[in-house]
Amino acid sequence: MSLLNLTSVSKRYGSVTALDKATLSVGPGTLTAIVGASGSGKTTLLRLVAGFEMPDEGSIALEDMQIAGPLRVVPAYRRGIGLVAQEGALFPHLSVGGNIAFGMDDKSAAAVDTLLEAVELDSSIRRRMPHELSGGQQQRVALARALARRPKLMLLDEPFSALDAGLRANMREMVKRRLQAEGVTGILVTHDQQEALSFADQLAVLEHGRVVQSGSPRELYLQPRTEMLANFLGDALILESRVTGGETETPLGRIRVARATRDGLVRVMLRPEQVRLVPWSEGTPTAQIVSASFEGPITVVRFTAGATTFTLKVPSADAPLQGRASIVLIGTGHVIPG
Amino acid sequence: MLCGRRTARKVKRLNPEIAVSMPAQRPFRLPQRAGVFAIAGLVALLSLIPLGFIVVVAVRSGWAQVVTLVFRPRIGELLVNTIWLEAITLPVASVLGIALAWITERTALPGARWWAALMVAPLAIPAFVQSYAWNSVLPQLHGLAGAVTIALISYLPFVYLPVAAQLRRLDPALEDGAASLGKTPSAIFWRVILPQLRWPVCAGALLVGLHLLGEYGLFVLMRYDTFATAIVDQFESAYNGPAANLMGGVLVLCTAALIGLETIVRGDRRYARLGAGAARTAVRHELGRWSLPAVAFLALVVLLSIGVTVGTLLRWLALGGAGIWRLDLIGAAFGQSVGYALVGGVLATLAAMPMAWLTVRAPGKLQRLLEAGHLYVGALPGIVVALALVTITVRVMLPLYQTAATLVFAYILMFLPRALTGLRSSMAQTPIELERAAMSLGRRPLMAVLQTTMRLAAPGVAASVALVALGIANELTGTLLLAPNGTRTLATKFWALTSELDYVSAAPYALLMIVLSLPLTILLRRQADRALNA
Repeated sequence: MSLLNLTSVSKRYGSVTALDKATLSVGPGTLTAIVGASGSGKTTLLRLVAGFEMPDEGSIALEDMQIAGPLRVVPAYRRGIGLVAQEGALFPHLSVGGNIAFGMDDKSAAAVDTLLEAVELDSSIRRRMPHELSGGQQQRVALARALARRPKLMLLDEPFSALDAGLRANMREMVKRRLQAEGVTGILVTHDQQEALSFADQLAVLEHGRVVQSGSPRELYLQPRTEMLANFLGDALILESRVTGGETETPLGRIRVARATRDGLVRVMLRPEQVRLVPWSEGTPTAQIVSASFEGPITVVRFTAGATTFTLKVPSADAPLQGRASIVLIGTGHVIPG
Repeated sequence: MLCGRRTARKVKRLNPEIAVSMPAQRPFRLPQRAGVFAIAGLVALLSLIPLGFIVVVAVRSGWAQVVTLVFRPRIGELLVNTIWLEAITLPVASVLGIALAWITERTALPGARWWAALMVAPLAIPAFVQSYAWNSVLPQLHGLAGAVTIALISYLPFVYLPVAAQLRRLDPALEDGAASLGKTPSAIFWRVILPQLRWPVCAGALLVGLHLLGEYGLFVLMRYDTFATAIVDQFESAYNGPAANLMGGVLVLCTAALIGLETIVRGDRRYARLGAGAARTAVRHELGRWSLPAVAFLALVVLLSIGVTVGTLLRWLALGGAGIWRLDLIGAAFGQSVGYALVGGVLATLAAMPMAWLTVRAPGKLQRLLEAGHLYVGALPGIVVALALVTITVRVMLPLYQTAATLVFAYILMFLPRALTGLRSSMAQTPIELERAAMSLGRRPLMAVLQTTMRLAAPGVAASVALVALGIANELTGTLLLAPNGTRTLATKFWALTSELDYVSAAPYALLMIVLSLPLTILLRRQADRALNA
């Protein structure tokens, strides 16, 4: 059973289609990340789930009850879905305590303190006003405020994007811990694929208002369904080559592909970490180094193999700087369907 | 956003069972937003009453009557008077406004802040009080010269305010850039600063022009006939005959022409500052040997625009002594003024709220249309609003004729734009995320808006009530035509006393109006700054 189901949901703003028959299902207690470039419709999707907008077509169901669709429209305030907005959206005229208690029935100081503790804040912060808090503290208060209503589902709208890099990872871990501890299902919208890969159990990628693929981060990273997806989730080498008998000969050398792959011309994706450059030896696929530019931990190496030029990030410790090197391919190549 | 939904609305509402199997489903409308649109639509419709009235009058009169009543020498005379008035006042006001704003904002003038405050202070003195004072000091000053003089000293702040606000926020980097390209300071003024003042100058001049069309008391005392004075004369002698109504129509046409002219002169290129970040404050130019002439110039302006009137008032007050302080009468008038002002201020602000919220939260074609409906009444001369309400109540709803309700309704119409502009900018400060957060925390939409956007806009709401209230306290024309018998506000009581040439007894009323209006000048100054930032 899934907690949240979106069934071919569409939303248009005038002539712009923000969501185009998007379908997604989210299991209870899981963390889902929705990624996509800006304008791909991810914020619209979040607003539809929260109830600030209604779909033009399709339906949304929470625990098998329709909350937006032809049968019924449940207004935002009765959905019991928590929300942490981009910059916290704390009420500037209320103290931290006032913000957290805003949606609570039991507005006692003790209840507020419990929540402050849950988001790893000191209870002395209760009387402060939002503008006296740092960005990270504001986000923690926003999370506590949303948790106060014990929602089954928590929507996180790029909540870490305003924080600096160090704080960001820290906050991400805290939010993940908190949601898992409380058994709250989380949906995170982000444009940062790194964040999405490390946060979620399930990843859904939006492109032009469609969910192009959803699945585990590992699955999406290693077996993307489209070239766009392959590039979106990390650096990718896409090669045209011919498959014969479960293997393919690329300019970088031979590599296995999924056994079921039919013979013929295909596009194969390799992640850069599948390509190793080792000291040259006779009879191996050869890389002719064009240039190597040092960037600290990694070195960007440009080389030609066959008649093609490649750019590869290589650990600086064993990066070839000139001359030639042998190419070793690791794992299997992923054939992009279609 | 809403337009897309409207087309979808034509799809018939379906039975839920059928709807499940149908791909096309009941389109969505946020019910609460539709409700707000409905209320704002109602207010916009009510705002259309005065214009609708003019149209109906024109159509009903028939062409023959329009020809006899409009194409006659008297109307031509009034038109010429009006054109002379506008043609002389507007250019002079523009030049003076720019000069004063530049001196107070861009030069190292001693006490520049105080001078800047004094430049706005004439707004606290109703134009008809200015004429009354000048009349008693310099009775020779009347006719066109008198009208222009008093109009200038009364309305100059309308140009000064937006120009000064714009000068404060101009990016000095542009001037630095021009200087580095070898431009002299005077070339910079003409080619960099002046073009950027076009919008505020035009906006200010339009406001002055509209006041010239609508003002009544000033021109009566200066014995200069305009449409407004002629309409009131006509109204007083022949009641609400077609002659007065059709003159109202001509006046509306003048208003439209003036607005059209302003649109042409203003052009549609708005100079915006490119790039983010706050601009530096501009360097003030050293005046050097020009210090004395500059101070003398400002002192002269202050003397003419405030000194004469305040001095005259004080002289009358001294002459009258304690005898003119008929506290029973004055107290009653004061009470009525404050009562009408507060009730009107609160109601106009309430009426403007739905529209202000929509403008901030649901911009679109329908919103712009409704907003135009709210704003246009501000351009209509008060006399036209009054004429319309008199005629309609007499013909259709006689029990409402000359009642406090009708008068308050007229005030709401006249000052609706004033309420709206203030509310709009203060609501825009609150991000929509707060409303959404409140809803996701279990608040109904209306409560969510009240507890976030409206709560945070509270200072703006208060300012809006105050601005409208102060406008009402000084309103004369509409009050004269619409007030129930026995109504004595400060303005009408003052007017009655000056009509009887009892200048001494009128003085306390004038003084009270000025004292009441002083906060207005501060509020208006702040609003001019904010209007540009929004």
